[in-house]
Amino acid sequence: MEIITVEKGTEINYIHETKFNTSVICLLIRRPLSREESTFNALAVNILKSGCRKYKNIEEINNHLDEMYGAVFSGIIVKKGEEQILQFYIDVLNESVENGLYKKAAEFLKNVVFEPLTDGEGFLQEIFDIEKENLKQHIKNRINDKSEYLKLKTLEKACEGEPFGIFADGYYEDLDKIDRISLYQHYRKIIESSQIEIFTLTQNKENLEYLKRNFALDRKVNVPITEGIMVQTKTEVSRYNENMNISQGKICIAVKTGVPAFGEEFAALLVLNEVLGGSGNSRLFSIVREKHGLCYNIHSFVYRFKGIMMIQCGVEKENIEKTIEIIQGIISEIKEKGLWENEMEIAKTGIINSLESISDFPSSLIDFYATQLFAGDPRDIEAFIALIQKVSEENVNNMAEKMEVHTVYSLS
Amino acid sequence: MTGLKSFKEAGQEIITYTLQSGIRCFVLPKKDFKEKQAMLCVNYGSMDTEFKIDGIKYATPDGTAHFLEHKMFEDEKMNIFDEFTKLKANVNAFTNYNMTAYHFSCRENFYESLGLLAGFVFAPYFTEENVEKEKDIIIQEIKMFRDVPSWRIFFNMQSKLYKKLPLNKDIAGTEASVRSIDKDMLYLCYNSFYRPDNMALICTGDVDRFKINDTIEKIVLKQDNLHTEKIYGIENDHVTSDYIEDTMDVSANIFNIGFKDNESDTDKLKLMNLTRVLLDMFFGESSDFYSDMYTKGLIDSSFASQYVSSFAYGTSIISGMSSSPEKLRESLFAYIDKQHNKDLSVRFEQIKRKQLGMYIRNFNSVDLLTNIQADLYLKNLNIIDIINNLKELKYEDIRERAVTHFRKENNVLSVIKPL
Repeated sequence: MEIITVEKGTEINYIHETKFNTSVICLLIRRPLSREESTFNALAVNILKSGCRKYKNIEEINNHLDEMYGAVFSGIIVKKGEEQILQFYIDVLNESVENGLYKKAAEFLKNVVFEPLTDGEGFLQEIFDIEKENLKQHIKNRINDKSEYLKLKTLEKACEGEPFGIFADGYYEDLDKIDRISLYQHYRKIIESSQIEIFTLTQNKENLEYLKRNFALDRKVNVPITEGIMVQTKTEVSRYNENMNISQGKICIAVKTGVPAFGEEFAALLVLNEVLGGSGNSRLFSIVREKHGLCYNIHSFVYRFKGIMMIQCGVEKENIEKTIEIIQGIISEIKEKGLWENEMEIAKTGIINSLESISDFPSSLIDFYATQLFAGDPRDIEAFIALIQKVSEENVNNMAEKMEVHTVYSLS
Repeated sequence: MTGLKSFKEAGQEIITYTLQSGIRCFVLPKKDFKEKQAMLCVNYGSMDTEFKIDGIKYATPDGTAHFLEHKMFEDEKMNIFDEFTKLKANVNAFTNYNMTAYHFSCRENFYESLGLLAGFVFAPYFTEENVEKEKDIIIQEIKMFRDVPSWRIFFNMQSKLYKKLPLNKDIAGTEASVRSIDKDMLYLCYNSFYRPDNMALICTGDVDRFKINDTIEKIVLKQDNLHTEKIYGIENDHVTSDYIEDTMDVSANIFNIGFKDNESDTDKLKLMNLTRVLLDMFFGESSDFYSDMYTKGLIDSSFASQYVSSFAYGTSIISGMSSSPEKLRESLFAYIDKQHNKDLSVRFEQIKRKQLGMYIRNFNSVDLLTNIQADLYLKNLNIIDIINNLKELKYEDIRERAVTHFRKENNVLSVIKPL
């Protein structure tokens, strides 16, 4: 990856990969995650997507995208560690199909992000009202996907008092405190002062010059990026249960390790996670599903910036407590007795496989490098793989000892 | 090997032929990609519950195809998942209405993994004990999907759209049907359908077809002829009811609006392209309908449309969340009525070009290429056919499709309301 400075506060991260038949530009506006700002930013993204000075409504925006051979565009909020990212992503076919698509895409992103539709004072009332209602509904919709909802609730409890526990897509009760003018003022402030990262993939390197000119906007950037906070783990497990009208009980367990988002310890955490619940070969899968037949799906994954490992599964309601006990038993066993034969090798292979496949997907490549940048880890995919390969059994055993079951949340 | 053909379009080639054993092969070269995939598709899905073998009729429990999929991973001596991981490959499988598919992806050891895949699909190992144990796991899978609103809303819609075809039933069956499946039933279905001449192999990536053939031919041999005939009911053009409602623990009304194909809609290739272009023209994000409904607050950005089809059925599904799904359906019909008299030829060309771009975009992904071709195999089509057909679509065809497809008689609104 090559970094090209556009101006103070704006950088292009150019990923060398020419095999794709599409080009991508992904623009990230970095904000510290805070309750005060979270809802403002979430609403702003939705309003920007609904119209800009050049394309005044969703119909015009989408017609323009269709004309570019169906360019794929999205504007979303992403939470990376304790940052709230306003992400704008566009993917267009390569120049071999039609010349100038890349430039059109770059211009379009600039239109949407930097030239919003306003009356000078604020966003337009009509668009503001619609998007406010939509965001309200979106927040209410969190409950519809039970397993996502459970994850959110578990994180909220596990990270209480830390910025990471804040919902990045906003709060229902905060929406009524925002009006079209205060939102526009806020947006102007962040667009002028935030660090912006532009990730791009293109076959034609000459496009980069254009990209640079396009986004040289003479901004006055001054916001330092906040350091993540890790709250010390505690000894007592917090237990929550919520009753719902569902067919299957669902469990989510947050395990804290306090491990930073890069370096050898993090690599060991990834290996440990893979052993525990990363795949169909994992301990959780083979014991909870295959041995006890308690569930169909069980897996674990890592929240990189928080050193949190999360375990999720769905079981009969009356088996919830029994399953939690079994999972805790598996965690204790790995702490006390370490790895089984072959587990290390299988886990490393699994992680390396997924790292290697990143380079076959434009969006995964961008996500990998963006995450690396935010984590302050300069390693590319190869170097990351080398780091995984170096993890020793001792590293994993040490990591296992750091595991503290922090929050257990269930839906029944 | 027989019937070798090769097609190429927009930089993507596909080679198709049939092996001695009868397996139909599709090879999709992707030279610059490191990822390689293979998918072995069995022409046997959840719809195939009734069939005749050599003239004798069998009726099997719902969910048997899916149960088989689970049990194929059982081996007397080894853990199949471990073996794939040792080869640095990821293996998985799925069952849908029409097909059971076993697939893996890898970056190295492709032919070894392919051998392993064919090896386990052609070596069933069912015991009373391992069949019994799987039931609890599958029942948890059924219950997991029952808590997913989009899943429930879809099957509710199907239950009103289709009367004779078993499309309203969960792919995995019900708790009771799963409990009734035993080892003998699995062997009966396995022996009836897991036959090379009832399968296709799709390989995508930087792969060599000669090595693929060598690998498969060592493992899969031609079998004696067996006359298996699937039995389906015949659908008529009408729905059994135009509305179905259910409640769940959700935040707002979620809906599916479905239109089913007529009996006379037989050219599946043309229908697929026509209907996709038509849905996008009328209801896509760039349509005036979308914009109008969005501004009125009747839909949000979850609004979407798609067309799903197989040799036996075809359904357009318009989905999303709405404060009033009933009102939305009314607006939709009013909108469609107005379109019949408008000149939409410019919009047609724009959307056709966009759809073409979307197909070319799919060529970026080894995974998508494999999956799309798997779906097409049962319709006796390949990905290049689709592109060629799309280019030839005529505006007049769209006009006609709009009239014949969007009717009140073949339409169902399925709604899930909050408790």
